[in-house]
Amino acid sequence: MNEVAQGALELPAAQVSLWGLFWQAHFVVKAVMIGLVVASVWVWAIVIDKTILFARTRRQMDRFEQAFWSGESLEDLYRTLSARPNHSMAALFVAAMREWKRTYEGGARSLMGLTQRIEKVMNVTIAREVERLERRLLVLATVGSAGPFIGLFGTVWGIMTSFQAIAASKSTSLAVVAPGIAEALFATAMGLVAAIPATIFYNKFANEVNKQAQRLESFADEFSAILSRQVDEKM
Amino acid sequence: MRAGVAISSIGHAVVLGWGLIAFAPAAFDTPPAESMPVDLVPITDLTQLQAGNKDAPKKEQAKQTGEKKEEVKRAPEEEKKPKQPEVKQAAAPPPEAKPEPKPEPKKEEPKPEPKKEATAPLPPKREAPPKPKTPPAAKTKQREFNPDQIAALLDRRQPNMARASEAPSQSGAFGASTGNAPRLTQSEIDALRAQSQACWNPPVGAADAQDLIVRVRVQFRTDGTLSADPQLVNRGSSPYFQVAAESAMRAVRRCQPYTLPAAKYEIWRDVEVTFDPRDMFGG
Repeated sequence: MNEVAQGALELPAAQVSLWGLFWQAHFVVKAVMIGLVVASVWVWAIVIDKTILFARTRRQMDRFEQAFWSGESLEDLYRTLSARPNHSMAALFVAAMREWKRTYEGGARSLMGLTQRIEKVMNVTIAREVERLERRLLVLATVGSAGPFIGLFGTVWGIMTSFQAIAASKSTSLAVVAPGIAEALFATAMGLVAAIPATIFYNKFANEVNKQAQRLESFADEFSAILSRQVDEKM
Repeated sequence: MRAGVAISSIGHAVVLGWGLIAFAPAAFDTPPAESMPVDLVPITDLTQLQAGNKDAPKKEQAKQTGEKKEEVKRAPEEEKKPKQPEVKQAAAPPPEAKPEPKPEPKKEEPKPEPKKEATAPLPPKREAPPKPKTPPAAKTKQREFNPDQIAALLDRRQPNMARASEAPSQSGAFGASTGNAPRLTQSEIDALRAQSQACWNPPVGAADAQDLIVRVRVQFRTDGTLSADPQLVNRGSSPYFQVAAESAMRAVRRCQPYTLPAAKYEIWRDVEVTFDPRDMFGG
């Protein structure tokens, strides 16, 4: 506590540069600032990653649906995709086809449970794919909600520093009060800088995940309908 | 994910670098606030009250303005003039040199008369005007022109003005027992009064307390004891006044060693103390 006041005292000519604000701060405030910068970096890394991922997933889904409904043989499609299902819908298709083929090639005597099995496999695949899509979105939500509070903590600490400087110097001049206030506000500013994009992109990506999950489910329904029709024809 | 982290890190580094440049170090320049000058005025200047004393010897009044003083002074000056030798009588003609407008109406008054007389075959007209003039002192004063006298008049003006512009507090007020600063401040007078009133038992229950205000003149020695018997200054009409005055003087005698600032002994050597029953009873 004592070094807080001294730190503010021995710098009567405080600087308002970013580096000065950071360097003059108490180490707690420094930790808060560093944590918020790291959080911001991480948030933006996730945002960039997710943006790329969702764009690519959407594009590949479009391409796959085009190929799927083009009348191409499902066997051929399966053969090209099974080696490396590189997106959600392909993974779904491959999982369902693998189950289908395993039943046929295994020479099963009854096709009774096949439809149910395929649906289950597809549900599991959808759940896994959705989980993959919305992974790390929770980080965005956390930073978005907790960032302002963390910044506020730094602010409170900075204000305390100001008051201790006032108490130590028995003066309320600007030079005494300003450094603590400035570093306090700087901490809050960084918290907001980290939290605002996190909240915005979390909302956007959550919506995106919902849409893609919806799309996967509707495809799964259609595909299972096709497969079940095939099963019924074979019986 | 690695690409995202890299891009994000680079972006933050760029933003922070821009911030370091954009928010260039600018020290808090806090010019010291202008101090407001505060004068500590001693209360003595405000509470220098002079106790008037009608019996005190009359002193010169110095509170007049320069103009008034000038006129007062001039009158005796003019009276003096006739005594001086009237050598330069003939040099009268220049009228603009005459300082006062006062003689001129006198001059015009008599003039019509001599002109009527001038028809008579008497002496030259120059001699005529002096004759009808009734006050001879005024006549001579009119005639003579003495540059030295005027210079004296003008010179007299300067000291008068200077005198009038002196600080009035230096001169004694009319009837004041002493005309010199420093004086007892209000608080010291109060202290004296409090000390003397502590021993005072005013006649309780006497009617018309405002008529029982007793003023006592007290003379002290340096050690705070009385150098003479206290004297009654005022008289009262109330039948109880004598009782109250006796009690007040008794009180002054009883409380004798007074503690007063020795440095101002000259001031409290001879003072008046007012005994007011209303102060005692809050009436």
